Amino acid sequence: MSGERVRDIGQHSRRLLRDLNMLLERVRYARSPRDAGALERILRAALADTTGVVYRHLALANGQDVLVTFIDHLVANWRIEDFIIRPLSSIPAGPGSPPLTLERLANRYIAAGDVKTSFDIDEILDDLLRGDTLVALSGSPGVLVVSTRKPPARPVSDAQIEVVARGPRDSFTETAVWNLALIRRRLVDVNLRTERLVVGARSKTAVYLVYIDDVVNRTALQEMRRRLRAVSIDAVLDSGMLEQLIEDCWWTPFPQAERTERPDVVVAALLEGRLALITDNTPLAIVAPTTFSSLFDSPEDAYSRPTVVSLLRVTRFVATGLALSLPALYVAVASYTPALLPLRLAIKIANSREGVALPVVAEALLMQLFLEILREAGFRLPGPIGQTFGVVGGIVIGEFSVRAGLVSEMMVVVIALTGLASFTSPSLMLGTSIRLLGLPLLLMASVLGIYGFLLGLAGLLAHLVSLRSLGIPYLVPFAFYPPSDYKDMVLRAPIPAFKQRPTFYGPQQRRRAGDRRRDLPDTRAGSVHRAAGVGNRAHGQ
Amino acid sequence: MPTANDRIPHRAFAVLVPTAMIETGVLRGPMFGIEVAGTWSWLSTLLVVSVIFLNVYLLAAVVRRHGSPAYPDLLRELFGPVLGRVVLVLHGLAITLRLARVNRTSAELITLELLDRTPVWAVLVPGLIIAAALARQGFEPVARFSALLVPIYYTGIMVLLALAQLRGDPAMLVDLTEFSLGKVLLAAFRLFGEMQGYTLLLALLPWAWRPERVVGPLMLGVGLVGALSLLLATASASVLGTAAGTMTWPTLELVEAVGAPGLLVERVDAIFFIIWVLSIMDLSALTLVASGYMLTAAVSPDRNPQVAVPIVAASAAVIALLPPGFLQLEEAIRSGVATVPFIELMLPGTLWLASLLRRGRTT
Repeated sequence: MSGERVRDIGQHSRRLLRDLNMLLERVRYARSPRDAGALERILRAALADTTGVVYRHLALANGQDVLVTFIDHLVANWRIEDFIIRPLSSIPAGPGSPPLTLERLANRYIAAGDVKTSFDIDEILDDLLRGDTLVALSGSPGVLVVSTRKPPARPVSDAQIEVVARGPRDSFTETAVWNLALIRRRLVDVNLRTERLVVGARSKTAVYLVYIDDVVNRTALQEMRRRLRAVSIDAVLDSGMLEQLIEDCWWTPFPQAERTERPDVVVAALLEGRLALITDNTPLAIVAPTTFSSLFDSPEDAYSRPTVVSLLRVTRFVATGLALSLPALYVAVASYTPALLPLRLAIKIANSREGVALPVVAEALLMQLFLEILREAGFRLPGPIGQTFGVVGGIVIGEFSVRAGLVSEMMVVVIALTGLASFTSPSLMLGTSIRLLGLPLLLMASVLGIYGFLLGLAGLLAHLVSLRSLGIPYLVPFAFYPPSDYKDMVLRAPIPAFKQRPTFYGPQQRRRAGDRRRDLPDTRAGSVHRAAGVGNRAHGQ
Repeated sequence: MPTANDRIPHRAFAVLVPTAMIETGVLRGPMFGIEVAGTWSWLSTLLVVSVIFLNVYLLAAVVRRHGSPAYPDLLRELFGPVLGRVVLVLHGLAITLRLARVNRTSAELITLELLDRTPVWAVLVPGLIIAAALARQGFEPVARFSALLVPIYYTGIMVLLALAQLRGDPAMLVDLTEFSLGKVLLAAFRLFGEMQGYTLLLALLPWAWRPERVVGPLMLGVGLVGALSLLLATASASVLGTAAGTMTWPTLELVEAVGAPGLLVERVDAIFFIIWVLSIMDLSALTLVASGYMLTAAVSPDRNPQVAVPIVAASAAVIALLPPGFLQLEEAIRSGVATVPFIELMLPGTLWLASLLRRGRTT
């Protein structure tokens, strides 16, 4: 047996012995939770080689020992000073005074607001690792867990992704409880529920399931609870991971839940009967169920004029259609059926292709590749450099590709338009998916022309009509739903017209609360006069 | 049986009727009518639509009388377990034959119009694969696909046909010197073959939210098909004249005549044709899922069409692409295809009579 192998076995045995010892200590502590010394031994064993753990022993005036334990980089030191150490030091010792209990300590001396007594070692360890302080008193069973958390956190700041010209500017941060506060601030409703669940065996990430109890779709809520409980993973580091763990179809390129950094978007979704997930350490909330048309809604839409919003939405839908189909259609028509085009346009295309060395499909693929490289490089480079690089790179590559005879001018226009159109979608994920889905369409169009393009489109539609988000069909309300559900789809009705929640989300209450406009006096000139006249007559009578 | 999410709202049946009926008849139907009845082909179309209305009413009456059961249960109730199963299988096979015919014809048209020098199988097989992929998802996705497509298609084509009327001479339509009742009836007889498919919706009844309410939407759907067919017949006759009787695809010619050079609608016929191809895929999916359901229900109690759909699609492809050398079989299938519309024409009346007799027996 080699020396290395012997060393391995030795290390393994030592680890085994240590685990066994710790297990015994835990059993001992579970039998008699009054022994602060046993607790310290357990904590020291469990947190061996962990920096920053402070074990502070205090001797009370009545002779009892207190063990205060915390991790110094996770706590607010002033809280420990003010809430724990100073009150404990000031406990008077009268002659023959009875020994203190943890309950009395918590009720009379510990000055913090959030204090609980705990007996479970795993729970105690979790709390300690989250930044709470443990207070153990010799001779009294259990441990006081005092909230002293102060993890490093980014303050609430302006939205970075969903930027709006009109509307609130605050956005979620990595601290889930602050995010809940941002929602609660907008929704002062006793029916707003925030259920806390923990996912990730090692990360123990807090996830808050947020909904309005008397509005939410109950079936979707139950389904979401079931999916969250079924999550089995080491760590959830971001809501994007959680989204993939709870979605209906893992392989589709279409997002089945919305991600948003804006609390107002979450509140609007909750009011429709949907639910939200706030994940700790993630500045993006998940909103579900989602539909294809809701991915075209910009946060600003609700705050702007309905006519303008409707036009912008039409532009987004058309642009998405272009991003998906323009290169494929161009290849199909230019390669197979130029007769489908108006004559002058067909001649223009033929002229622009004169002297181009590559076939149309190769041109399209090459330009798509250039575009993706530019986009990726632009994203990776820091801010202004990335933008400059994108613009300059695009111009240089476009210009010189045409001059070199690699691609035609028309193809540069087509691909540039495709790239631009894909960014009009408010959902970045959808825009990217749509642009990439254009590639299979392009390949099918290159094989079977316009028919191949149609086959691809039909396949895509076939996939979309069968897709669901939390059990809700993805393409609602494009088909089958009452006219009232179309008020906020491609065209947006004025806000007073939104008297009912969309049926497809399955809310418990169909009608939105209080049509207040009815209660207000009609302030239009004629109405005021009429009202005044009626009042005068009534008064006169 | 369907779950809550597989259900189809009863209103959706209004769009399923055009989906089930639309096929090559939209493109060449006017030719058959005008070839026989001349400019009076619109009267033949009206007769056909009236009969279809009556048929749909009879179907609805039978279904309602028997408490809106699933189609296989209805047939068992009316004809007994053995004969009912035979009728179910024959109906499923008839729909499969129609699927093969529609796909063959449309594939030929696509190769002719869009893909010169491409073999028919290269067009037909991928189309059927996509349709089967959609059909395997179930009735609800197929119905949703229709609900997305039909409003665009129908609205577009009806606006086009209404515009086309402006270019025609309406007086031609009522020229009594051209009238012959015999020719009108003969043309109606020929047009029956081009306006079929509505009975496959019987398979979809269990998926309706409220099957007892599908009558109205079914009637509305037939009304839509009727309006389109009438517009098509009148526009073809008044714009293209009797020359439409000799054209292979008079509708395409008609739509081309509406296009305005130099404007956005210069090649509107191309757009029309492209959406028509998508509609044929939708029809294929609907037919596949319905025939899959009928054939599965005849042999298995679970009635899940998912397994049968690829088999039906493969069979339809084989029938549509029957290789040379199978002349006898090909002939037999061709005869079968030719009789399908008339069997369908008789089915609602037969069911209604059987229902009446059955009711007499039970009471």
